[in-house]
Amino acid sequence: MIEPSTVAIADLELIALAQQGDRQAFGELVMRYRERVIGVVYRMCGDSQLAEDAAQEAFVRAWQQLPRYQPRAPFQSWLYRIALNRATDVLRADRETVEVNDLPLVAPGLEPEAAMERNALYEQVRRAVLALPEASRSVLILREYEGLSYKEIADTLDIPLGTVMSRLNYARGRLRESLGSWLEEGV
Amino acid sequence: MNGEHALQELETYYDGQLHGAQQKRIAAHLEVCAECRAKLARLERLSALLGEVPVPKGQLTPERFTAQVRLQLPPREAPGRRRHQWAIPALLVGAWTFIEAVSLVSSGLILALTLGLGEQLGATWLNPAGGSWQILQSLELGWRGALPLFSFLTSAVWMVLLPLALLGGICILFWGWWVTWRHVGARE
Repeated sequence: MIEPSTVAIADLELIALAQQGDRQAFGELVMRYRERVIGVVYRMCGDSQLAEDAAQEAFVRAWQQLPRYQPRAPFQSWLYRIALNRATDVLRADRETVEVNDLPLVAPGLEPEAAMERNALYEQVRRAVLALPEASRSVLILREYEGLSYKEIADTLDIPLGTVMSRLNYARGRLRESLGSWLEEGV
Repeated sequence: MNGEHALQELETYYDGQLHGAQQKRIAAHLEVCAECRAKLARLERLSALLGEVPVPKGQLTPERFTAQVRLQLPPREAPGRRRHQWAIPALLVGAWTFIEAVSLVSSGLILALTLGLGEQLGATWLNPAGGSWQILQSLELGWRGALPLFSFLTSAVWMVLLPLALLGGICILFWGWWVTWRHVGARE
């Protein structure tokens, strides 16, 4: 198993090379962060195809802005910020064309009835998350899916710590309301 | 501990963002408060429920995704050239300012000399003809005064034309720089 510190150092080296224009190093960074960036964008816009396209554009923007990146800030947070901005742009540009209908496939091996029930659950959760205001949704995604601390979220979104807490509290409150039945029953 | 404020504090505790005395206080409270334990359990269930929803498998493999990103990457400008890019218009403006200043001073001196004010300005070494009013003198002199009058008119025309010519030259130089830069950028 690779030690986290080794990964972090390697990231810094790759970032330094990419800052000097090394496309191969940047490609390695894309490989490393691809899944997380797609995940963040997908949770924001709810469409897997759009998420892939927007994630690619986010990486291209990251490449363009990389010379100005200061390693003092975590690279992941910096990248998430670009990805969330791109997701917001996509949502605003394609508001009328984004459809929340590409259900993810459930794990194989489930009985058809159980699979249908699981799909219904996924759809309801996804719709509940997408119904949140963008500002609260981005905070919720960074906390619940990416596990960022309040401080990291505040730095990523450039908002005060108190705003992170209030937005998270608001988002969870709305989800408790819309997913009440599932929360009572348990998963 | 009750109400919305308490719930937010409980969330902060749940997220592991409380430390020291605050954390201990909430932990102690949870031991005696069934209502808050239920709230905490709901928070845990909500997180579990959110985590259940997977991200659909993308259409592109990681390698293909990366390759497509790399194809879209625009060329990176050489750091050295980018660092000095700002200096080109700055140098042009600096040169223009210098030439304008020199032109203004020399035009002023030429006018002063033409009007025979060299002595009054204390620049007798610039005015060997002495401190006379050359225009009036040249008019009085008739055809013999044509040369000083011609000299005065030439100086006046130069005073207007020279700055205009310099301004035009700087504009052409700046435009040339801009077009060249655009052309090089587009080629890259």
